[in-house]
Amino acid sequence: MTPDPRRWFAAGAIAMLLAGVALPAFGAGTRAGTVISNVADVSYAIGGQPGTSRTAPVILMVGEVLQVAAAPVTPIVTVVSAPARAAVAFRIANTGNGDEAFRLALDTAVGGDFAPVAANPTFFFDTDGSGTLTAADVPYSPGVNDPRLAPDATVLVFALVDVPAGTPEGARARVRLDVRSVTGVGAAGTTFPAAGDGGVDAITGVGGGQAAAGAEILVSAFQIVAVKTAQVADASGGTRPEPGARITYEIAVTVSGSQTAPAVQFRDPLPVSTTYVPGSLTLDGVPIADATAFVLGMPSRIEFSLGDLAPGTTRRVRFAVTID
Amino acid sequence: MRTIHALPLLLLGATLALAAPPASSAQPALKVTQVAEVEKTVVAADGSKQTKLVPAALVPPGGEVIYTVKFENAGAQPATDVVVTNPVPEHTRFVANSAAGPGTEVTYSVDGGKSFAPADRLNVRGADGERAATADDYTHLRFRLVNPLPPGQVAYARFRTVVK
Repeated sequence: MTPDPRRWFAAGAIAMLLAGVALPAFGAGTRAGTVISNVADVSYAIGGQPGTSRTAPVILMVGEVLQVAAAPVTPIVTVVSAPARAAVAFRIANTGNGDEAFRLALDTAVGGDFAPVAANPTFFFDTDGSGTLTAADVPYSPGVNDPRLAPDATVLVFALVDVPAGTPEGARARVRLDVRSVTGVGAAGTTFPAAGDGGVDAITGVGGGQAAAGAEILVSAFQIVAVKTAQVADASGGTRPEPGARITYEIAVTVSGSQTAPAVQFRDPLPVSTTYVPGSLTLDGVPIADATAFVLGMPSRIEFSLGDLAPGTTRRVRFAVTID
Repeated sequence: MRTIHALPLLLLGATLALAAPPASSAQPALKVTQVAEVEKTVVAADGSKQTKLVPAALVPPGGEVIYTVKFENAGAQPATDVVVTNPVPEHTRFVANSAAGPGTEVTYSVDGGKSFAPADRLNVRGADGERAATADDYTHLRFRLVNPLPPGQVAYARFRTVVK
C-alpha cells in the first residue's frame, strides 16, 4: 500500500489548505479527422421481381474541437518569510478531441497585498513525473516547447514566482495561468478552416480554446509539512498488503518559520477497505484515547488537536489499520 | 491542430471512388439516395432567424447530423415492399424518436441488424437483467414504405444522430 495523500489544516489565524482542485472531466469525444460513413441497404419489388441496391456512402469528417482546462494542484501556496520563491503547480488537460499544443503565460498582476514577480524562466514541466520541482524538470520556452497534448492527456507545470523582500507575513497575492490553443482561440464556435488534425476545420469549444487557473501565494509566518510513511505486516511475518494485514502509519508533522503555528488540527481519513485498530493511536509515543480522536464516518478518520506548534517542532503521530 | 496526416483524406478519396457506380451496372428502377445535413441558423437582413439544412461535411463531437433518405421510382411500374436498412453510423448515437417519414413504418435493431421490432418491443440484456432498449442501444433502423411507390413518385424518410 502506498501512503495516502495527507490532509492537514491549521485552524488558527492562518489556514493552510492542501486540498487538490480537480479538473473538470470531459469526454473528448470522437477523435478529430475520424471519417463517419453511412451506407443504406435497399430492398424492393417491381412487377413482382425483387431487387436490392445500396446507397452511395455519405461521408462526414469529425472536426477538431479546441478545448482545454487548467486548475491549480493546490489553491494556496505558502512560502515562509520573504524573499522567497514559490513553485505553483498547475495541471493542464486537453479536453478537446485532437492533438493540440498550448501556449502558457503567467499573469502576476491579478491583485493582492503584494506584487509577485514571475521568475525567468517562469515555467517548468514536471518532466520526471515526481509531482515536485526537481533538477530534472525542463524549463518551458513559449513557442519552442509548447506542451502538445493528445485528447484527454494532461501535463503538470510549475510556475515559479518570487515574493519580494520585505513582504510582510500574512500577505496574499494571486497569480493566474493562461492557457491558449496554439491553433487559435475565440468565442465558442470560432472556426479555423483546415487548421485541425488531418486538415479538418478546427472549432473552438466551451471556453473558446483557452482556459485560466488562479492560485494564491501566502506569505506565512510558519509552514507545516507532513510526511506520511506506512509499514505493512501480514499474518505470516511478511509485508504483503493482503486482507488481515496490519498497516502502521507514521506521520511526521514539522513546523518551520518564524512564528508558532496556532491550533494545529490533525486530520487523516482512513483508506477505504481498512479498519482502525482500536487503541493504536499515539502522539510521540504517548497513547491518545480513541474517544478523543477516532471519528466514525464515511470514511472514518483520525482527528485531534496538536495544539500550538513552535517553529522547529516535529510531532509524530502513529496509528494502525487492518486491511478488510 | 494541423498535422501531416494524409490518411483521412486518402480514405475519403477511396470511399468517393467506391461511391461512383460501375459503368456496366444498370440503373435500378428504384433510386434510393441519402444526404447528411446539419441545421444552420441564418439571420436575415430584417433580423429574423431561420433554420436551414445545409450539407454536412465536417461535424464536431456533439454535433447533430440529419440523414435524409430519398426514394424515387424511376421505373414504369409501382415499387412494392420497399425497405431501407440503415446502420446507426459508427461514432454516432441515434437521437431518440428522430426517425420518421410520411407513409413509412420504422423499426429498430439492437442486435447488429439481425432482427427488427418497433421501439416499444425491444429489450436488451444487461448486467442486471433484461430491460427496455433505449435509443443508445440501437444498431440499425429500418424504414418500410407502407404503400407501393407509384412510378414517378418520391418519398422521404429522415433520422438524426449526434457525433459522439
